[in-house]
Amino acid sequence: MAEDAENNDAELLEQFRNESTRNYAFHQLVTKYQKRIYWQVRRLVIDHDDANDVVQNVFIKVWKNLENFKEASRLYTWLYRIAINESLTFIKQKRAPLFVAFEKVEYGLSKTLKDDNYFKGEEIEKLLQQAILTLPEKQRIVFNLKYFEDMKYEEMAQVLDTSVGALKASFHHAVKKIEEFLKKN
Amino acid sequence: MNKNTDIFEDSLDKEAPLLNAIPKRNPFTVPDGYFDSLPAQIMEACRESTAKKSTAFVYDKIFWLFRPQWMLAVFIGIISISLFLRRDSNNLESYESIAATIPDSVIMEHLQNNIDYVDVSSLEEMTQKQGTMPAIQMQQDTTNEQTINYLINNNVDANDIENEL
Repeated sequence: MAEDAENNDAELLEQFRNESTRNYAFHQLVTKYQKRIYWQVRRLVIDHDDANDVVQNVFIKVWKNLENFKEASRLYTWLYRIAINESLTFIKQKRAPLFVAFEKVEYGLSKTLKDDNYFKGEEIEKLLQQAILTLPEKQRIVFNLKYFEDMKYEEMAQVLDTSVGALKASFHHAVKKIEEFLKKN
Repeated sequence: MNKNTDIFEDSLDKEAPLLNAIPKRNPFTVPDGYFDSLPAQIMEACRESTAKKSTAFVYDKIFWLFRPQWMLAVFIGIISISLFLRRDSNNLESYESIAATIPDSVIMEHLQNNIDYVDVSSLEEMTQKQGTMPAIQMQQDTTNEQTINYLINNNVDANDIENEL
């Protein structure tokens, strides 16, 4: 299955490098990965409109740089990395203008979660999202990728350019903190 | 599942029972038909970014030509050249104005004292062109008059002088 996807990616890349099939190939690529990228971004920035902006930026970046993609890593690993970087840049920009503290931005995201029309989870699910928002950035990313995406540590290590051991430790700390938060609330 | 690598996941129910009790599903939603229209939106955004990039390239080129440091250098150059030219014209004016303040008699005296250095032929030529009396001739006339007066006042016979010569 994964091998098929990779073959398909190689074919898409081949088509993208050909001027006459570039737009078609890119459209196919967006259609294939849009949901995975969107949900990854959405879990980090919470708001749908923000996620929409970030996803567009992600794919614009992919459009500009795909020709130079070295294929040393898998395409979706590369896409995830761009998506995470763009999401973090977006959150940092929210913080930057007034040097807003980390907690305030996360509090803002938590408030967005409460007022979000596109959040249909139960109260306990909302509480889980609020607990995730209390985590440091890296732990949040690791928890989301492992818990919701069920991504393997080895793949995650490629996306985040870190060791498997460090990722396991991050996930462990994240789970502990979330459990504590749920107990308190 | 690898027991060594995912040992914590296996014990999630023991380590984090509250978290384990929460349904593991996506609680977020999107507007209806969002993912149907997203690829077209993204393609449009990519096209726009490419167009912006080429426009930005032109602007970058223009900006490169009119960079502040270039403009400053050109400005300083213009100012320097104009100051230099102005100084030269001031010097020219000042030579003329200084020459105008020197009395004719002083000039004549200077010419007489330095007669060896004056090219008489060029002076004559110049005065002929201008149609004016040569200054030296005028001075010579004045000197002759003074000589005659001197001879009269001192009773000197001019014939005696001629004989002696």
